[in-house]
Amino acid sequence: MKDKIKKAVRFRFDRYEDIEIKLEKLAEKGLFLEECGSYLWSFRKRTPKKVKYAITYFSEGSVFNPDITDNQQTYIDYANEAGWNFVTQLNQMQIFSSEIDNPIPFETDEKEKLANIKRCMNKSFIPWSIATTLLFVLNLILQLNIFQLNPIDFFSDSIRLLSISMLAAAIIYQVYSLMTYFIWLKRSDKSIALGGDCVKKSNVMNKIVDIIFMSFVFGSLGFLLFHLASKTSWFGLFLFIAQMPILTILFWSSIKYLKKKKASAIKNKAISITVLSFGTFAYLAILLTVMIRFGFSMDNHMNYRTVDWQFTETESYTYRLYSDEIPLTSEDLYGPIDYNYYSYEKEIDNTLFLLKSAYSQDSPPAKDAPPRIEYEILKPQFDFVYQLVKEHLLEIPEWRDNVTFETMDQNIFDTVEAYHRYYENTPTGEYILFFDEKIIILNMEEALTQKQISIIREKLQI
Amino acid sequence: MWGDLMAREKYQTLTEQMFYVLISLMQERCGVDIMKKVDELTSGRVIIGPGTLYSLLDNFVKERIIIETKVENRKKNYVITHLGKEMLEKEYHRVTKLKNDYEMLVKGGEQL
Repeated sequence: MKDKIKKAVRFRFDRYEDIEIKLEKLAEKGLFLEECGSYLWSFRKRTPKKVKYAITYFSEGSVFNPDITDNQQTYIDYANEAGWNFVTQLNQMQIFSSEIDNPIPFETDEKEKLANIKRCMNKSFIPWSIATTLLFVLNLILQLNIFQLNPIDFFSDSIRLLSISMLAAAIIYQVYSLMTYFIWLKRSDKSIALGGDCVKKSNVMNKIVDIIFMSFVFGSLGFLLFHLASKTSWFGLFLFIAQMPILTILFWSSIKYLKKKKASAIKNKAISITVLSFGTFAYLAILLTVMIRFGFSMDNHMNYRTVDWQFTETESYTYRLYSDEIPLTSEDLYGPIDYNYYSYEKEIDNTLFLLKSAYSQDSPPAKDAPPRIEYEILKPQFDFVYQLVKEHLLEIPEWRDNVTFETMDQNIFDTVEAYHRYYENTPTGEYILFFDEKIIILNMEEALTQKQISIIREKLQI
Repeated sequence: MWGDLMAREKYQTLTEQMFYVLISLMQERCGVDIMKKVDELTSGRVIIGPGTLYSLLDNFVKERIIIETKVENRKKNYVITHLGKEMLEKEYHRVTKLKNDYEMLVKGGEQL
């Protein structure tokens, strides 16, 4: 029977009591801690018994240390003398166990205990939390920048909205963690000043917040994977999912190898972080190369054929020609067209905020290429989204002073508002039509005729 | 010196554990021996947890209340410094004052 098992243990460095209680409960069930990692902790199965655990923090502790340091050994010697056996460590967190009925408490001076926790947290938990929060904030700002550039893409991209909400949740959780730590610190200080102990941390509120946060993260990840599974191949999905475990294994292997080689903690840290950074870039490069080479992009089209398009005698490019069903075609507008290389493309993006249906009929570039058409139907789900989209569509950059939008007669398309784009006072084939609950953007090669307008109204059910 | 002033300020009163650690370091000892000595001196009344002992010794060395004398088989030995003795003396006077006040005001029945 396998007597060694690995368990995913979620913990927070500053919540030592939660970990102690968890380990004691597991020991009563016959699972005894042997080693702990960032996510997976190793346990050995033995006869269940009562074991007391003590989680302490040692400021010199680091995963990069090649061995137990001399000072750490002194610390362990003191612990042994008091009846505590060293079990394992993770960074500054040191785990001891005792099978004695009433071992000497690991900490007997609450003021010193708090000062030690504070010292260790100032060295690891706080800088790490601040750094990751800043990283999340920076990422969120970059993502929100897309909103400024194009609110239509922003509101219609479910993956982007999901990643933004996950980032926002992570920021809130990190700030919450830091705040609860500082509040605990202040309350403990006060309690010790009045002759009491460090305040107990584990409370119902913390657990509720943890459950809500984890449910949200796992729910979002599940949705993300489901979304990716429907949009890419299984191999592509596998590469995406495998990224985190592969990089984690790479990082830990580097640390373990350098530890074996007795490299100093500084050297180990510098090399392992470099290995992780290069590994991340290399993995992304491989992922992109494989995606480009084998073509399992985020494209959900199944019905397409490819053509090798010759530009010059030596230069050619492979084009995908789609054959999606689209409500309005060039043939509808211009009559029968004898052309074999048309690509009929449809893309629907639906989110809580906006339903975007984009259609196009296009062809590979050629001098005698037949007319191409492109149109989008937007259905904003909220008034503010409608207003933001409208503002964006009618926005003309300052440098495009040769472009104007002319108001159209509302009766032409039976709109609430309608605009026709002009380029150097000449009407183009671009129209923006505002209805009560939807917006249609037409992008044709030339200005529409009366007859074409009637066809569009019929085909797009305006 | 500024460091000594800081130490005096920080340790205006000593806890029992600090007091007995310093008392045991009137003679050069390592950490494990300090634990044993304190237990012996107080007949097990004052106990010092390993985490607390490590922090206390570390802080005392930083504040120059004790000094590290030698390392034998990775065991560090310490002894009290002049500053440490001064602090013990100060604590002795403080506790004696408490004792005297108690005897005079509570046991002696002097009018408060």
